[in-house]
Amino acid sequence: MTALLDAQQISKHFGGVQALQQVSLQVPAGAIIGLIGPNGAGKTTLFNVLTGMVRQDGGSILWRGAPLPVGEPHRVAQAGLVRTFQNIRLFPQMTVLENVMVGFHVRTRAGVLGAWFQSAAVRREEQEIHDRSHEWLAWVGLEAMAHREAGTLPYGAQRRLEMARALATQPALLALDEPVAGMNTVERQSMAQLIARIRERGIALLIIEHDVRWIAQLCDRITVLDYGRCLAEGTPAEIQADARVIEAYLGHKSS
Amino acid sequence: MTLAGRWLVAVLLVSCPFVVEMWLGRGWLRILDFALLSVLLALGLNIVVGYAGLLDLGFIAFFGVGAYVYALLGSPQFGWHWPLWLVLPLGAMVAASFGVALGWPTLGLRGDYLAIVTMGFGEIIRIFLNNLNAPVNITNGPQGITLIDPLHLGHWSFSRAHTILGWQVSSLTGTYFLFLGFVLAAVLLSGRLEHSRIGRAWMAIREDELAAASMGLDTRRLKLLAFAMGACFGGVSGGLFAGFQGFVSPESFTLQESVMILCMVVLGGMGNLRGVVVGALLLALLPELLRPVGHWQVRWLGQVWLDPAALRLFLFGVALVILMRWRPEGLFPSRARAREWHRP
Ligand SMILES: Nc1ncnc2c1ncn2[C@@H]1O[C@H](COP(=O)(O)OP(=O)(O)OP(=O)(O)O)[C@@H](O)[C@H]1O
Ligand SMILES: [Mg+2]
Repeated sequence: MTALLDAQQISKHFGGVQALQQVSLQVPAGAIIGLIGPNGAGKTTLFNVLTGMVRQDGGSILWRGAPLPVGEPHRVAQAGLVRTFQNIRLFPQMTVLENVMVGFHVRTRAGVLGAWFQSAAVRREEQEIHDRSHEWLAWVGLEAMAHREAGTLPYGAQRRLEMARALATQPALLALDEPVAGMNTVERQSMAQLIARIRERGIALLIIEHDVRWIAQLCDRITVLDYGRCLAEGTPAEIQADARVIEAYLGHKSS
Repeated sequence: MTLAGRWLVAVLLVSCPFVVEMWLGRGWLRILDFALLSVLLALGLNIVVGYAGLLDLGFIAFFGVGAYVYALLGSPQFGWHWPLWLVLPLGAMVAASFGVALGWPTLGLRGDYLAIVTMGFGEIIRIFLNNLNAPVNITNGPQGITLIDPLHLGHWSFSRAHTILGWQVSSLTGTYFLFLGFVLAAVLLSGRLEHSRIGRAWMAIREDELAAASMGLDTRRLKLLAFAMGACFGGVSGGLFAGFQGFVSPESFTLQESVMILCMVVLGGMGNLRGVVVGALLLALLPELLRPVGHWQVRWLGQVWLDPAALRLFLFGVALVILMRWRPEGLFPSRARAREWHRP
């Protein structure tokens, strides 16, 4: 079985910092994979490399068996790999609805002439973008805020909006960078439910998170990074029992 | 706008040239015609700066390109006299390709850096126009091109008076309606773009380019499209300018003009069509309103104390400062700008 995403031996350094050293990661279609590790372990850097925002020094990334375009984030998104950001990046001065509508850009066609002459097809497409954006907002529970400016939303709602916008692009793999950072237990549980519902739609997820217990309840498998190296890989139960992980990660968290 | 409001605006727009010509004279109608070209120009820059958020300080170059295309193809310079309906679209296309030529090397730049490069680009175009008279004379250098064909469509010339249904319609009035048609079309096309897939994509790029790319937007293509589209409007405006004025020279296309158009867009409210139109009209008319400062001095102070030309510029500057102090977000801000400036 070929994985949806298959990253092999990814390396990346920034000056003297070796952010990633020969890290490999597979995401099968429809799976939820966790990515954990202490601060500065290289998790976000791995996301940046996978989504074409940062060029790796070495290693290959296969998407459905073919190489992913390097250094061209928009083509990665077109291929069906879409991410959210650790420090949320919305279009803050556009409305919540417009944010999601931008997500539909990649799966729609209307160009300048279409906009000018408003053919029946273009109007239909625009109507569909509009309706389906509302549907996504309802789906993540933001319908009531559709016409607010995105930047004015509370933090948790911004996270959900970022996910709704990403879902609008119809990804096959959604990569979430610390989706529950700074949230309380109730919010974490509701986010876990949302993630489970996303998976039910057949979308695979790759999730960065620090809280091992939270991620263990969701994931099929977990990869642990430490100082840019892949420290361990396995099922949540294996990872939680792994001595190296406990020492390197869980250990110094509780200390 | 309500239906009654629309009718009121329509009646105002139609009666405007007749009223102006009757009460204020031909000079003011001529000023008004030029002001409409400024509006067209500002609408073009609004696409680049207001929608896509690309700070362009050399926008007048596209106006110049459009003007020279018209001038070269419709004057004794080469003895060509191409018709308007061919020359205008051609000018727009040439200007658009210059827009792409400017956009291409600057794709990675934003904000201040982009502003500096576009400023340089504007100057390069002007200097080229100024020097393309040797070894082969194309633009006639600093003397510019004269005796440009007046605006005409078939046998209908906009440089002559016509009698329509017993009404005497002067050439300036006819030109007013021609230009008004272009402005209304530009407003309509801009508005449709603004509320389209492309317009949303431009605004997304303006807000956060990296996030836009991560949503699958081809930011390079979209930015080039914004440059080309804005330049197109500028090129059309330039062509009309050349035909209306009958004369073009490089000195009409200086950095000062670029700054002026940017002021129109900023003052009116970037990204807001109504604001851009009002801002452009205001800034195009204000210097003309201040023209009689020498006269005012004689009347109230007995003699001319200060050089009228300098004083006029000074007052214009003061007016700008007051306007921007009073409404930093522009007269009719887009939602976004209003929030930016009035954050609690
Ligand atoms: N663009 C960059 N330039 C220079 N150094 C960078 C850059 N991006 C990341 N780094 C460095 O690479 C290392 C890994 O950073 P990264 O952000 O990937 O860690 P992380 O695992 O996401 O950490 P956190 O849990 O704090 O988000 C860090 O030492 C960081 O300082
Ligand atoms: Mg990180």
